Amino acid sequence: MSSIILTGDTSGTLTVSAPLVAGSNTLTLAAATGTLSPLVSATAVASTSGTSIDFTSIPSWVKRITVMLSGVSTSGTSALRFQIGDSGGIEITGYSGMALRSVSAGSVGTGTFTVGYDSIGVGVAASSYSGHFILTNISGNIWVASANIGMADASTMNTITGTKTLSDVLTQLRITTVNGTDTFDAGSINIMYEG
Amino acid sequence: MDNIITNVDVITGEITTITKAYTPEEIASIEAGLLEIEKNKPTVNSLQAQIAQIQAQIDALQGV
Repeated sequence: MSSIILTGDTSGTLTVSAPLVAGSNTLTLAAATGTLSPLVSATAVASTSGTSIDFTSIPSWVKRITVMLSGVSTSGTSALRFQIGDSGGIEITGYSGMALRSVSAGSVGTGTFTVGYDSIGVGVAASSYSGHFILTNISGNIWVASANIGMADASTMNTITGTKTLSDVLTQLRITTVNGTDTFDAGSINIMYEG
Repeated sequence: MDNIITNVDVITGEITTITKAYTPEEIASIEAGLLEIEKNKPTVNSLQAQIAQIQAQIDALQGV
């Protein structure tokens, strides 16, 4: 494998490597000035126990985080809650936004939130969430969220939109429930992050 | 009341389980969240108002 190694101005190196396959490949960069950051997939975790799932050590250069939920279920009927935090811990105030729950039978529910980016529960424990929760950094430490999360087995769709200003750079993210006591009992969760 | 946290370090990939007692502030925030949900719950009156609206739309469509 051929590589080009660039030495950092202060320390460390950056290695650019050709792939370990036959043939020629061309990667053309956009004619733009900016920072090129990778799309990184973290480690998927089984959401089968505990009351919270935290993703920590998120790098400071991250501008967008996608939380992926696959068949995530909890022991009770409390709705899913997403919270973010910095080096001082998960922040539990100052969220602003709204969620919409629509059920195929026709009923629609809405709710506002302040403690986390909250979905709206459906009152059925034996149902599971699948979908994406997406956070983007608009500027400074302001994080805008949107999500579409479906519960096919409860014929329900949750839409979440909101914003939250952290006191410092985002380093962590939590998935939990509104009542804080329901435990995860099925599915898996992972995040992807990018700059 | 304890928070049982599955912690995923996105750099090392290490998954650990931590048990932390909720702080009084966290308990207060949980209670605030629950109150907010209670506040946003539909009432008999609001549901009856929705039904009346839907009935009015049905009547309009049927030309009543």
